[in-house]
Amino acid sequence: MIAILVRGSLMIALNMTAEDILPILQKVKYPGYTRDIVSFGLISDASLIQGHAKVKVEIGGSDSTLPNTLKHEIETVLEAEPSVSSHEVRVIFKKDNDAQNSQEADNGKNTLAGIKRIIAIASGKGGVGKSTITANLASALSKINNDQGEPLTIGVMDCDLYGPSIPLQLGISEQPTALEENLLSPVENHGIKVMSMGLLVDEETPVVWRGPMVMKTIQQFATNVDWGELDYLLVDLPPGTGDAQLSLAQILPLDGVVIVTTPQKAAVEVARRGAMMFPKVNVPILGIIENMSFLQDQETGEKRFLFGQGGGPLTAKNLETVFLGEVPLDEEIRLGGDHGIPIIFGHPDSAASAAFTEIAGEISSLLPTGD
Amino acid sequence: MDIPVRFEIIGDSLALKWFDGTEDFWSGSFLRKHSPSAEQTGEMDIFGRIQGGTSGMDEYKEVKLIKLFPVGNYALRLLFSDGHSTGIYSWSYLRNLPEENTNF
Repeated sequence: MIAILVRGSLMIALNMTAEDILPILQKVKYPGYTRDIVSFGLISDASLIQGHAKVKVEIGGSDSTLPNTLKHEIETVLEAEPSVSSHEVRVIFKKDNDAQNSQEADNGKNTLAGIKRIIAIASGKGGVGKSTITANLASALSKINNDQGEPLTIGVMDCDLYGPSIPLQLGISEQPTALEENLLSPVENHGIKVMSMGLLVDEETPVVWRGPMVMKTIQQFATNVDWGELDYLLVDLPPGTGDAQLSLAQILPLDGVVIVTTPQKAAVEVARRGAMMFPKVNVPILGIIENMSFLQDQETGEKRFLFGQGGGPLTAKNLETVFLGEVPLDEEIRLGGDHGIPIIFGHPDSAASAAFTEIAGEISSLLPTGD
Repeated sequence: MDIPVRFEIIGDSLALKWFDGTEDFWSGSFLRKHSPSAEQTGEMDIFGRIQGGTSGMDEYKEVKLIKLFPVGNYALRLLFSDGHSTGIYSWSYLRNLPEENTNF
């Protein structure tokens, strides 16, 4: 009589004149790992009586080639054993239907599948110009050509649900159209596809929401909007490190985040603290953009540093990341935003446009979309 | 950041293979006991005192791991047989979680 310990319960196999089979089965490793199938608790029945080995294994998962692989490996090990003259191996496969279904659902209508790179524009600090930077970076990126000489395709997801300003800055006021029951089409202007809360509710309606609605809406911006093929999707975030930022990090496969700050200490410290969220959720900080760096006198060319100097490079140094560049204060940036024609399109020869173009070039080389 | 190259539920264990080739295996009951959820660990008030939580109240010996859901780039959310599903196990949390047979 021999006692075999299976899954923590003592199984008494009667009339057994046999050796313990479990040490033999411990030679079978689970495919892809160094741990054996006995330690994983996958053996539901095993005996070795007069040289005849009987093994029953139960596995789950979604890989339907696994049962045969495993069966073959167990048989190979048993056949190499002198004490085993014959064997009977059964692998019971309980297919994980949920996993299968969700995978099929993903393949069927994954609205993010055509997007090559997703970049968030963030800052712990409010009022540093995240939306202005987003609108202008999107514009500057859309003027870059890919390897085939065609312009890059760009989208903007405006996740500032309480204070959406991307539609104004990109000159969009149309409502998105419903393509099918659970699919909205983004609205396009200047060749940039946009989805924003500003397109879904009228200007008179404040968005007074608690966190769960923020999470749900961001989820829907990701899964129920027909983004199509995009080289870059820029995601404009509200200030802070709350529901919107966390939802985004949990829902979207972000390739990186760009942090915006203005030069003064009051902004730099908040921006830096907020930025430290992203390494925690495994999203790389691509770099720092310093906005409102200086005001240049049109006549004399003299620069006035209204908010001090060096805040952007200092933030980049503290966060051990790249300083992507500085954007000057320029009335034309503000006018472009207010009229829905980003300075990149309205005044492409301005110093500010040059700054945006340079930063966009830097970002596209940090996160290239070519194959 | 340390990230796994593969992860799955095998039997009742969570199996993880890390970027550096090392592996980790934990049972459902161990992972349930060490859920990082505020439901389990409680939350800190402004005095630094822990409020709520169920840590130490149960060994969860009978609890099994049912399902896993990847969270963004950084974590797994696990569903257990007792219905607990709010624990978000980040890669860094799992990387620092000790082996199961140690006293923790």
